[in-house]
Amino acid sequence: MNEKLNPFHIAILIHVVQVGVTVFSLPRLCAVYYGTNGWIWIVIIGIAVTANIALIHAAVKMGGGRPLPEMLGLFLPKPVSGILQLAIGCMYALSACLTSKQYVLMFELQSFPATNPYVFRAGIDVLILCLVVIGIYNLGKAATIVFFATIPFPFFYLSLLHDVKLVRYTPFFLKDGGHWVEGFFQVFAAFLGFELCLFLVPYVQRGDTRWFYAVYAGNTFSWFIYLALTVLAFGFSSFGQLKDLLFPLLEMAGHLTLPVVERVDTLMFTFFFLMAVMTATAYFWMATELVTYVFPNIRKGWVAAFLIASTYFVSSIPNELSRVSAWLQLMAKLAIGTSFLLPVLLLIGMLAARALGRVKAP
Amino acid sequence: MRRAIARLVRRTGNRAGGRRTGSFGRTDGRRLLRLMGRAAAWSLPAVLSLLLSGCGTQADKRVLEELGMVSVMGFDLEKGEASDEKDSNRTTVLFPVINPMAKVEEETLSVASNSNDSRQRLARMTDRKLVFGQLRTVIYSASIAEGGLLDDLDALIRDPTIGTRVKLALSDGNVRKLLAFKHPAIPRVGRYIDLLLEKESIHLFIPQVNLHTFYRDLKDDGIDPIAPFLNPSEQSVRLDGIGLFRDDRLVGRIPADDMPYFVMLYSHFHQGTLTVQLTENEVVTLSALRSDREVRVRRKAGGVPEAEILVKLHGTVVEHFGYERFSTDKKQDELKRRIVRKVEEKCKEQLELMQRLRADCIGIGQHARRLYGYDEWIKLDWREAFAGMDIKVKAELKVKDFGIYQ
Repeated sequence: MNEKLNPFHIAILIHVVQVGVTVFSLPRLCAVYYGTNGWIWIVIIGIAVTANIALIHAAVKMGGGRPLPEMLGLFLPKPVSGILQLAIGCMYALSACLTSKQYVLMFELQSFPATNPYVFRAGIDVLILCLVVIGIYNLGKAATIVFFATIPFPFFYLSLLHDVKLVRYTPFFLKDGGHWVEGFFQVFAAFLGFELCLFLVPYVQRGDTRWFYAVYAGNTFSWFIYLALTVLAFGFSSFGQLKDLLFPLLEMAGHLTLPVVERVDTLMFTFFFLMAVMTATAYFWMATELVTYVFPNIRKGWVAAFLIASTYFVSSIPNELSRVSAWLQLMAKLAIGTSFLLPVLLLIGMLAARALGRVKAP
Repeated sequence: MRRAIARLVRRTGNRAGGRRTGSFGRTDGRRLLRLMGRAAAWSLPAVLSLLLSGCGTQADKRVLEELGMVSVMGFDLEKGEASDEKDSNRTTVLFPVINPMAKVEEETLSVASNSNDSRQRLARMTDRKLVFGQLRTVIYSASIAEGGLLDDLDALIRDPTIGTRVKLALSDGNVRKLLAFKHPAIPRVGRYIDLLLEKESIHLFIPQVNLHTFYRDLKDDGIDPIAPFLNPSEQSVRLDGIGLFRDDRLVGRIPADDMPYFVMLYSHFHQGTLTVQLTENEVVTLSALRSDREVRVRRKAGGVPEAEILVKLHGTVVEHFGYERFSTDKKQDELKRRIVRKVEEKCKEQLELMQRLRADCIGIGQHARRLYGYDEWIKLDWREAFAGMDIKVKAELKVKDFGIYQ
């Protein structure tokens, strides 16, 4: 009955969930926080993300195929682990809702500016609910369709290569930047979504952690796309211009021309809707999983509906794009903290549980 | 087959709770209700999505016939007549009329305002909804550009409906009059201007200039922006030189006849035509011309920068005014040498002009940055260094053929 996730689907799922609207502002973030040739930091942050995934990999390996709440239950009292799961679940749910809201507000910059964003969001949330309810296996299949529908777009940017000039990169490295720690959080946020792998344990072949290499593969692909697009942006636009543009990659897309399509940027951003929906869905799914572990008697569908409905109202508080981005940045910082600290906690806890004899050493 | 039917009947019987299968009982009714409820629950999202998709506001509706799709925007500076009167900006928009019954193909609206509310004022002057998504060209009068374009451009680059591929041009005279240009051969001046700039940027005479390239060069500390001039003549609207900017201020211009030499210094091109006046009575035209530019920079003793620009030309001689035979290699080489000398001389003229104006519009600074450390570059007054530096121009010419007459 429970079909297991295929590593191919896992790789695609991780990539699709990672890529969100932040990608459009990546060159600006690198320019503002790291200065000239700031794209180098994408390489460094990519290594940090891979290290983070390795940490989760180690925790999952040590768990021996146990799902997250079961592992937490081994070394934490039930109320504490319950509260922890609920807190993380709420954070993920709010992040998901803010992601979809950010997309809607960005979409309205280009199209339907006078339409009430609440209407759009309600429509998107209905779609997200349907996707969360179908479960992770079907979500993996949906992600595969989204992946193949959107994968040509990064390659369209290659047609702008003739406008890239080497002298625009400047011979200076990491000069005239801002605070690198803030930049680290902001750029790292573009890679978020990989923590989904921590929740996939019950849905893969038990006792075999080779599926984790698919997570590395998915992340490496996102890393490559981010790096390639950011490097291209630094040669296409001048450094000063990159710092001023809110979404440099969207502006670059405005220069793409296809034989029959004039404004590829609008088309691309509309297609990007699928990516934004997948990201939000994955986060809602993770939140639903966490809440269902705490309240196993409530059906997942109702939990998802409750989470989506409640966060719809909470995320209605910030109205402007800048406010939504500020909220999202806060959520991203919490999510980054969680993605580092949770596997560390699991590792320490599992070692302690093993020392106490609650778990057999492999 | 028979087995499958039997299995289906058995399953139906089981679902009915093993009761009467022939009549419709209470259990069946409940089951039906449950099924209907489930169907309704599943179809609700679909129905909701369909209903929500129609919930756009009236303001977002776009009916093609009701739109005024602005293709050109022009800006003039009008001096106040009285001494205490403020100068006002005149905004002129041009949009095609989509109506087979209309006698004109384009409509022009113009409004003067000393505040920045011209778009609202223009909207009040027409029954159409003015939209800017199809804007192709923006033209500023030279008097506005001399005062600085950044503030005016800000209004355009901030608007997400306006693409950054919108072409940018300048005009010496009144832009309103330019956009009202009438000629039987040019029914739509907006489209004409767009095609003219497009064609000329492909065929050598001007570099491609749009909102993106202008802002990109404005924000780069190693290059200054440029913009082409458009002026009306008796027969048409013509390209009339290239405006040179120092930051966002127009400080000088390259005359129309010298534009190809500027483009050789500015960048490379793939196809073009160049007419070189060798002497008063001798003119030669090169066609299918390709050009590559190479900038070499170094620091002389004392740290002073110097540069050499190598222009490599490759083309065909198609016209030679002033009868001469080019049957021997010697004669051909002699002609090439004379063309090269003239090209170098004309390029040097353009360079000296830019150095005098302290406007590095060909981006020598972009190459010179590598001669300095970051702190040294930031402290350096590049404009002064550019104005005082020794820049040599070296041209090379390869001629494929000298036409079909020897």
